[in-house]
Amino acid sequence: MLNHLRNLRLAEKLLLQGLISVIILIVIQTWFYSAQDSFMSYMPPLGFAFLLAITYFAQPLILGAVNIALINSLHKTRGWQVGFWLNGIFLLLAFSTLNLVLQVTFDLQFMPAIAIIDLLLSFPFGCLARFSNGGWTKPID
Amino acid sequence: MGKPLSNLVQGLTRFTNKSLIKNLIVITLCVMFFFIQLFYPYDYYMSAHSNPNSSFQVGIHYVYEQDNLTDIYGQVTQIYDLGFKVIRINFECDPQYPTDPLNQKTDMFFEATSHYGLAVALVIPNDESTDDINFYIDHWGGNLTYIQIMNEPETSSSWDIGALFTDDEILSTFNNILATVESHHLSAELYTNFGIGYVLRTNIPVEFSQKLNFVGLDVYMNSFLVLSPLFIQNLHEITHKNVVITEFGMSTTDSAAQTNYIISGLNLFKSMGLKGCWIVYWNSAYDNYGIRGTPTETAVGDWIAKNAK
Repeated sequence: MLNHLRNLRLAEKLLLQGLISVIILIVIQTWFYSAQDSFMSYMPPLGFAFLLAITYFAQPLILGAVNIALINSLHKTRGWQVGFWLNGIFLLLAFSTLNLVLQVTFDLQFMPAIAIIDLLLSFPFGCLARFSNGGWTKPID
Repeated sequence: MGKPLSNLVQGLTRFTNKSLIKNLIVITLCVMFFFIQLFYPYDYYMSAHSNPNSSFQVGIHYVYEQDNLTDIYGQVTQIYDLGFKVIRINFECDPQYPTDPLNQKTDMFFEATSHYGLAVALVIPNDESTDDINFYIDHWGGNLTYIQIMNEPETSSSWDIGALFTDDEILSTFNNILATVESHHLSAELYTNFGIGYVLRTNIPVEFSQKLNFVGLDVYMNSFLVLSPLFIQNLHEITHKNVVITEFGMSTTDSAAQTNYIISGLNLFKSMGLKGCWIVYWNSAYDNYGIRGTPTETAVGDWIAKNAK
């Protein structure tokens, strides 16, 4: 399976990487929208602090880790150039900035309109995700 | 031509593929995205052309208790002539002496607003007693279009230093005032206004909004005007209620700055499709918020004539 993925063309690898990243971001964003009220009402201000911690600490870590795992799997590399958190917050900011611009400019709702546009932009997002981090082809000492 | 370009691309790729360079690029882009998120909504709405036919309600807070009894009717007339649709007022009455001059002023105020068909928003302060609220609503409740339950409750219980509400105090006070108001079965819409500080106590608007018709946001200072689209969007998202700007003004002796600030805000809020914006204040004896008799009054009147139906 992994070998099959590694044999894909570069464009297909980038599309796959973008698609996986965008789907993760959409799922997390949708979950945040539905769980937001519960977080904010839970033992204030602890719930709000948890929400911020998950949004800006845990979520970027997960995204960064998934991104480098994808890069290493698809491109047969090892290690990483950019730290997990920084890589994740970059992807999160890129995604949320795009969504904000779409929401303000075209007065769209996240579900389903913006989520569909995000999915359609999987390829450029994959290019961005690939560019934002990288591994090494040689073994790391 | 093809080879130099190819060399350039390869060189650029090699250069950006260095870990240090990649980190710097990613950090720079993160900062850029952050600033886009901060300023794009304001810039977009300020440059967007709002629909001139869309309805927008401009209101003003009139501190009629600071005026003479004989002047109040004339002042309401002037406010009406300028095109304001809503007048927001303080909770002013004296239940002990029904013929007290304060009650006479309130009578006079409502006589004028009823005559002109102006909507009135009453602010019930955080520390108002149930007896006083009952007295007020018994006498003038039928004239009210909007009732504000508490004022910026996330901030403090009063203006005293250190008078910060706990969540339990806020909720108890809110429920007491709400129960008192609802016992009169008025048709007035209920709302609570929040300052920018609500972002630190988001549970309060979330819990309050379940019992309110809409929520208010108070905007002061240029910095918060620029950030207001983000706050408005967030307040709308967490409360699922329409947001009205219930306090908007600037206390300054510089009339030009006050005019620019207020006109910018009116343009912004109308462009965002909000229902309305209520300016503070018409008159203000102890600070420079009042727009009465200043160039701002004329500018706001002109703006309403052109933009607000």
